Amino acid sequence: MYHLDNLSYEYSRGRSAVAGVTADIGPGLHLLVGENGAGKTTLLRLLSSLCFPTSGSCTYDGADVSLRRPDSLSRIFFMGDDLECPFSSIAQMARCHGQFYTDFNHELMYANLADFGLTGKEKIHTLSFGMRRKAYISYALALRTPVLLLDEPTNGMDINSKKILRQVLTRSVTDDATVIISTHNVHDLDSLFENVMIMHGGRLRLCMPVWRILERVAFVSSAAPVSGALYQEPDRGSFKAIIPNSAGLDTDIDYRLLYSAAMSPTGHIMLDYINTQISQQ
Amino acid sequence: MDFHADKPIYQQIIDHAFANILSGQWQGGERVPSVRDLAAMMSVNSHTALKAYDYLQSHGIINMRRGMGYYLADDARARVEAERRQQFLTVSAPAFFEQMRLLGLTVDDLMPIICKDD
Amino acid sequence: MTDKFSLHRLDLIWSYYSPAIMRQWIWTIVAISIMFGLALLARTIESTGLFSMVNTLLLFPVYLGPLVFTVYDDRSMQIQLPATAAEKATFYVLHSLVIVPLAVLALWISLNSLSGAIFGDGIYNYFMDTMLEDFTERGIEVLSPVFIIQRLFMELMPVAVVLLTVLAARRHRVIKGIGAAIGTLLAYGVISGLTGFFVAFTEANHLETLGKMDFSGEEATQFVTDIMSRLLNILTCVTVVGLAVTIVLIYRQVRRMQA
Repeated sequence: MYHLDNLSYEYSRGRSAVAGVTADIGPGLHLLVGENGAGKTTLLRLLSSLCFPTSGSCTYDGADVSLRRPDSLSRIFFMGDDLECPFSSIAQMARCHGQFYTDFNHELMYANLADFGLTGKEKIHTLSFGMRRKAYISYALALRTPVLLLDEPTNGMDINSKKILRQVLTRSVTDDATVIISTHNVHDLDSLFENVMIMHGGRLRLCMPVWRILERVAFVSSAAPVSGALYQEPDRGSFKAIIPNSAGLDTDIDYRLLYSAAMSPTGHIMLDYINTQISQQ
Repeated sequence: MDFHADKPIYQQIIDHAFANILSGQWQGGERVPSVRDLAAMMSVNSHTALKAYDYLQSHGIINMRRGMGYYLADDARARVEAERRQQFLTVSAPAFFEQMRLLGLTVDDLMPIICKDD
Repeated sequence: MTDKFSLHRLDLIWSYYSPAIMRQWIWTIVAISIMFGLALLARTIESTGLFSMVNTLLLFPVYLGPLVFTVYDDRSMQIQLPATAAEKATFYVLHSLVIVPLAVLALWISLNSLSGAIFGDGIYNYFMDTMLEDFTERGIEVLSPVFIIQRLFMELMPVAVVLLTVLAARRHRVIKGIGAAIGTLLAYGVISGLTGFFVAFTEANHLETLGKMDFSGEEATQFVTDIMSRLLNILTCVTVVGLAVTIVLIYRQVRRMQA
């Protein structure tokens, strides 16, 4: 379990990449969305101790992550969107790097690679960008670290590969693992996510299990504008809206709509509504 | 599994889990399907399955084990039975007796049925 | 997992870098072999000049040893490697300042012995006497502990600076590494020159005040020896301190590295 307390990362000129984030992040698959420059990558790097916060703290299972203790390091793995494998093949990486991680599972790695049509013995430099991403993800998931942070893992992947990624994630990620996936391409993975994190302007505006969001609000579609909606937008002749869920409707989440709402100028209305109801439950 | 319109899906998943436990398909102490596997099996979203598992976990019916996933508690069956009894006593039975009252029936009208079961 | 220094983890770090280190070792062997070839040539044509050049170049594979860590371009994975910063820094320092120099030395000694079979005497041995004469002429006691320490630390200094550069820089690490090696050698030359001048000047002043400005041959020799001795002592201190400071900076850099 991550406890973030007023976590901030400020650049030297006073700009903040991450500003005062306070949240608890537990196990499950988390979707991390936010506009470019919202601070998603910086947040993930703070969570994995790749950079040190300028103020505030980030602890995982009671240990301050920035201490970079081997115990913490072996339980958290961050895969950036610019990861370059230093080894000639995934098989070599498994031999030289996998030993650091106590739960690393060779069979899982080969199963993941096979799903993507890889054997692991291919020379990395001969693979295309997309294939490399698939190879790294197959490996990263096989490390079976309690925390896995993936920054834009679907970059360079075609639609079919994203479908396979779903399969691979389902097989590899156990319920007690914390996996945070930062992505713009929600679509092919959306039914897998159990938690949503929305970052906007360096602030974590929402961090909640999806089912809790759906208890607070409902995502509806209507021919006419909806009165009392927290947010709505026109959509091909009709309207899509987020409304308070006082009627206890069992609707499904629309990530794209949620994201648009959060980014809109009136987004705080919806976000405040979702966030403040917690104490009443 | 067909989903009924009246009951929330997560509730139906819970009922499905209860049925598995009572029938012995899910044995105490054994691993239960992961949230995502269950979601895939029932063609629901992961978050719906999670909501059901959250409920089961908070009622001590399943437990999370580090690195391994959810496991059925050893006393799961007893807990489910207790839960079911609780549901019966607080929801089903009152509804039943309310029906009786509306239909003008009394306990005496039930005697033939009760005696037949013995 | 313990926070205490773990030899097992040091071994794992070695596993992590071993493919790159093995590749680099092959290049090193090639380079040393080429230089050995040149040394053979020097021996054949009995050119001290050529041999001196080879002698200088010989150390470049050692100086540039730390460049093996640039091959990886994996700052993110490096930081996340489940080991303490001290273990990682110790590995880098041990590899660059101890293992590579010893390995190159061992290689050179082996080649030297091999050449002994051809020429009856190792190449190095042949040129050694000439060099020893040269040094003694200049008033240096070659086999004194101070001289050996000074030479040793002087040769390790560029290695340490290259290692620090490679760890601190984010881009163009190879160029900066090579620049650091050359820069350190140049800086060392400048420092030696300045120190020598300073020492000679103060010695001369000292003698002047004693009223002695005309030297006889023996006194001149003694004068030079005194200067060299003082120079050596100062340089040794500078080098030892410099190396210690650089190593401390290396440990610090590994601890504070961010991706």
